Amino acid sequence: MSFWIDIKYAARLLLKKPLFALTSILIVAVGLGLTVYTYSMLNSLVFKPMTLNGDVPIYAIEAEYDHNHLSRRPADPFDLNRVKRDIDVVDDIGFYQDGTALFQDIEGKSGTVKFNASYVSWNVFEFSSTPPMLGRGFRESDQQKGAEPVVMLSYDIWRDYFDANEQVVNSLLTVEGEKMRVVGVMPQGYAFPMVAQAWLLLPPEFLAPVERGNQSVFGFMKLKSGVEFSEFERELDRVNPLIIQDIPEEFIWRLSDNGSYLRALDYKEASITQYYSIFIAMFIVVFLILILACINIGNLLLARVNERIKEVAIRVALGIPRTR
Amino acid sequence: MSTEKNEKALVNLVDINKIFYTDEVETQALNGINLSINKGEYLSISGPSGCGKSTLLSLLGLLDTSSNGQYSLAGHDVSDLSRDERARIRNKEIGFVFQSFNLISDLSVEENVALPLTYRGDLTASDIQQRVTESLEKVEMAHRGSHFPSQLSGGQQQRVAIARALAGTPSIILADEPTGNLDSKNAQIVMNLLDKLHQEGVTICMVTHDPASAARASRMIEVFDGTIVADKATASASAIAV
Repeated sequence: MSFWIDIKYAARLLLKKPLFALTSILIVAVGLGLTVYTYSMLNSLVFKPMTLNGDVPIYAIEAEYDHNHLSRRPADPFDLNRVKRDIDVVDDIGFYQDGTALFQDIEGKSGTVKFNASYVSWNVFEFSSTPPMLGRGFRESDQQKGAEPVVMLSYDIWRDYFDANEQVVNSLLTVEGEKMRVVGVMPQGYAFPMVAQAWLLLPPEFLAPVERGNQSVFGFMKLKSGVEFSEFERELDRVNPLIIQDIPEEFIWRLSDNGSYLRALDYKEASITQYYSIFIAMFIVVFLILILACINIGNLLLARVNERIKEVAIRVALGIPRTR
Repeated sequence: MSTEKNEKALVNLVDINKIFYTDEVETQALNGINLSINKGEYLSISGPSGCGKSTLLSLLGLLDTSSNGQYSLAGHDVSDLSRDERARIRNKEIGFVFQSFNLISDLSVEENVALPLTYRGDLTASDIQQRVTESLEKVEMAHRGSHFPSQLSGGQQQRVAIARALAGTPSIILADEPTGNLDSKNAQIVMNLLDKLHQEGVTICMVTHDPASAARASRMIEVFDGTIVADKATASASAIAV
């Protein structure tokens, strides 16, 4: 009964001062809405680890972050391969470079079109457990020396430049001045290892280089089932000095200012390293807005309490327990 | 006056002092109060403004604590209770009637009467409803249960306040100038109601300025400068005795 009396009483108070109630609700709604929206966005973008289709977390492996230029730095595929070879807990590893690709003579379109492209190792789609929407994924044989060059299209360019024509699969396109066979189309929204309009294969020598070179790639990897990331980190701490020791003078530029080289971290965290502080600043700003909203509501309620002070005194005289 | 504790009394104040401190000023509001109120008694407290009547009523109602002295209510020492314990006893043992009625304007008559009962936690909704109905019938206000205080006259509001005080079947009703805000006709109705309750065995302690109202009590106490200067039976007590 007391519950209903309280509810009815609260409703009457709200209806008695509708403008006050509306203003309070609006302020709280704006503050809370902004905070919840920002938090859920940041949770998806920043806080939640990236797992793609499986529950296995994905990690990035690359050279130390360049704090002078605030940018990520790729590593020599030779060294990343050594990580794969020397650290037993790595289940699968792949490489990529970001870049562009020129598509020529697309049927019905004049001239050359430049697309954002990811140059990847053949295992990228299997790694992300995402099959193409049309056609097939890359195969290991596609990346062998002498194999026919192949390209994978994104949903967006398939729709916008090829009129969503399924016949485009298995057709030949001129990409970067070379005839390439379209092997498939990825589903809408697919953006791994980064946002791209087309995926091309890295040259075969990137996959298993026999010596150090100037080629640079970023790595993505999964750990074996049941292996904690900390375990891999310990292994990397062991292997890293050995790799650094072997780096000849001509490739010393790969090391950071403090002499360190490879780093591994959550894939999503690596992808947003440059923007992390902006995200956090945004969250702090929104949180401050919520606090501001609470302070405003507090002030409004304080004004109401002064009006209700007599009622409080009556309730105290009637023996209201502190919990009410 | 005796400082002996009266074991049979409902209320027993022994050597109660109350001192207020404001900045560096010390005000002795009550000075060595010894008072016993027996069950079923109808007591009036009177005296000039600032003499300590309201302070005494606040102590009796456990709204405040004494600076020293001993207070027992219904056989229990309540001198040194915590705020929560005092609230619980206030709710169960004491009913308040105020000069300005002090009904909550946004609660209906029934809800106002039910309010102290909802604070108990040991009564079911049907128990509460039954007590509310009985109390309102006692003050002849049952037909106005769904009305709000602003829809009632002063006298009716005070009757509802009395019903609220009665609903919890308290050991004592403390009334602070219950007719102070009423015209003579309504004051008469309220005083008749208090007389009736007294005859039914309710213990009442009433602070009043009005000699006529004070005379209706069975015992009259006069306070002056924080001290009880007179404690006597009234003519109405004699009449009851006869």
